[in-house]
Amino acid sequence: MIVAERKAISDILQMIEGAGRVLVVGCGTCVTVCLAGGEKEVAVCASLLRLQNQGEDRDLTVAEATIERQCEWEFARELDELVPDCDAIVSLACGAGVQTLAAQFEDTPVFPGLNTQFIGIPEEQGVWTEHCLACGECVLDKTGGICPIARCAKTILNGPCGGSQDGKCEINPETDCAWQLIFDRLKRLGRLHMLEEIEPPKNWSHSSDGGPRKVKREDMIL
Amino acid sequence: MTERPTGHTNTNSNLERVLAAGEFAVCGELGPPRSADAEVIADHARHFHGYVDAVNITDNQTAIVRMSSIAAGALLREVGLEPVIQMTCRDRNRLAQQADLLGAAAMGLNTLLCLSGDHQVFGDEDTARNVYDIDSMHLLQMVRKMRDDRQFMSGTDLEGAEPRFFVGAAANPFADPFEFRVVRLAKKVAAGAEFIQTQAVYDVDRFARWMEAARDMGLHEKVSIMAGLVPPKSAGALRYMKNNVSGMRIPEELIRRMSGAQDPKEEGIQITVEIIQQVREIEGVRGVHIMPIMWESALPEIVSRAGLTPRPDLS
Amino acid sequence: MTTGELRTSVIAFCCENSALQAVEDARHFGMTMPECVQTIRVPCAGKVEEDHILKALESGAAGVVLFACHTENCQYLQGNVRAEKRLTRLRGLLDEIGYPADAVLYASAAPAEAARAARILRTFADDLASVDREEAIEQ
Ligand code: SF4
Ligand code: SF4
Repeated sequence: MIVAERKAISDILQMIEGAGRVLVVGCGTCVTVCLAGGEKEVAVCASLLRLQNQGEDRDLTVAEATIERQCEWEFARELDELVPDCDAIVSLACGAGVQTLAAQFEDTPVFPGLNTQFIGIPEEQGVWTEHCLACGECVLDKTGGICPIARCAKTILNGPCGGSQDGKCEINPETDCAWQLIFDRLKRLGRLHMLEEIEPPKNWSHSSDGGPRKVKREDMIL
Repeated sequence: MTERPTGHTNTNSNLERVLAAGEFAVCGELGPPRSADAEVIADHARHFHGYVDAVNITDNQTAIVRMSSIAAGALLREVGLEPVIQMTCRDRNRLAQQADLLGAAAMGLNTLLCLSGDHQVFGDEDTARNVYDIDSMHLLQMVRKMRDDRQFMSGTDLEGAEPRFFVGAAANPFADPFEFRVVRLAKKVAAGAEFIQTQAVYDVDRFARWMEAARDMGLHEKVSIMAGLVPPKSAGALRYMKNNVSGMRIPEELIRRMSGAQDPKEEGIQITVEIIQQVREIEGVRGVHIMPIMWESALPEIVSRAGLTPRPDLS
Repeated sequence: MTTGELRTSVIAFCCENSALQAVEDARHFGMTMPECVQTIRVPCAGKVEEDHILKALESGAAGVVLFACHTENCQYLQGNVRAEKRLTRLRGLLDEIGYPADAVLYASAAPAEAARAARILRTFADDLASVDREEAIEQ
């Protein structure tokens, strides 16, 4: 899933300055599961905006809505009737959701209420960790199902580097060394020999380095 | 691929000549200044004359901005010392690295050490974007490809003079997983490393076990392994390294010895000399790389007491 | 908050396994209790979400108490632990918008502790009132 975190309310307040009617929009998919932008978080965010405004001179109304997926037009269109009544939208979705709303509602400013963090998984309850960087050319087949691109601090393809100690990465003792994990896993699978070969340099043109990416399915194009 | 008959050299590197002559090599190390002061290089270098075969020049070590290793290396060469240019993969992509390799070679620099580099969180520019386009293994391959195949990494031909570097890599016998450390060394040798400088040796036993594993794979004959040494200035300095530098192993006993010493600096020099003598006894160790961090003045004393003077003049 | 108006109403979310009984008994036995306390029965303090508490504040409550079972006495094992953590987080959120974080309180009481419950509510209401008074005086 895409993991995100709410921005500071002060940042959101700054974005919506001057707007009298604000619509806070949640997303029912990834950010609901990671507790950043679902219905509940929309309610909290909206409440905080209203409470903050108590005692201020300005009139502020904050409406709430949560749709199934902000990154899809069908769902974004469900907001068609609500949006004309508001001066600004605060989207509690990942960056893709924010941009979908911005494209769908061209005349209304859409602001990001979240900081989109990464593609990850819940490691334990309340803790999420990064697992994929969407590099465009997956190497998990060679690394025991553990991603060195997203999980090694130096995106090393031939690790572990000399900073790996006691299973931890040199950057801090809370971060597992991805290459120790890869080593352990391949050992368990009896495939350690795979690490004897030098993995060649990565072709980053498949990644965001190649410019904005596009995926096409000709048979699906209308 | 990297096996060289003794005596034969590929480059103008003094370090290569010394190793090829079968001499026990000595490298020093110098961190460039955090300023544009050219004189600082000459000033620090005066301790090294006559005591080392080459001097490593660090590349934004611990991710702190310093004068570039290539510029500092060129300045060092002007005062008659051979620099080992360190190049990390943290700050430059393959374009910038290849461009700098051409520039460094054009300035007469002959010896190169390829590293991943410390992660930028350790430095003062911790909001920087890191690069790591390629890793240290690929950097080795790239340097050898430019030198031996006269080709850029892309495969395009390199027309005109190719950069002729004697090329080395780092190895850390003290990092984990131990059983993979020698395999990784073998990969670096396969990638083109001709010499190896290790992380600072304090735990001689573990280093010896690592060397044994390297000998089992015949690596000591394919690559010149130099043991790294950081002369300890105080028990506090050792403790700091033990707690803060990942991939270091420092026996408690050594820290106790330092803290019990009347004159810690003298003890630090003595310990370093002893470690040099111990690693010299290990088959396959071809030299030492002494890194007197902020303590260059200790180097002459260490080298002479270890009986490593005079340095061979093979130019 | 409307200017000059003195708000001392307190909403107490009370766990039906413990604090609710205590507060009801306190009332029943005529213990000194702030008049403005409105209790809301909840199956477990851990069931109360941040947005419930925020809605209570928005609806005009001067303060909100989240009344749970004592440590290790939760029927659902961890409900009170969750509730307390959630309240700590909520205080942080209130801080973020410059709203007095003292307006929300986590407390615990056993069913038989009517006096304790009454005292907690009294102190809380008094504290809120004194803050309000100060503000009123300033204005
Ligand atoms: S290799 Fe690339 S695509 Fe595969 S998990 Fe890692 S970042 Fe994602
Ligand atoms: S310690 Fe491991 S995870 Fe960290 S940078 Fe080195 S190889 Fe990568």
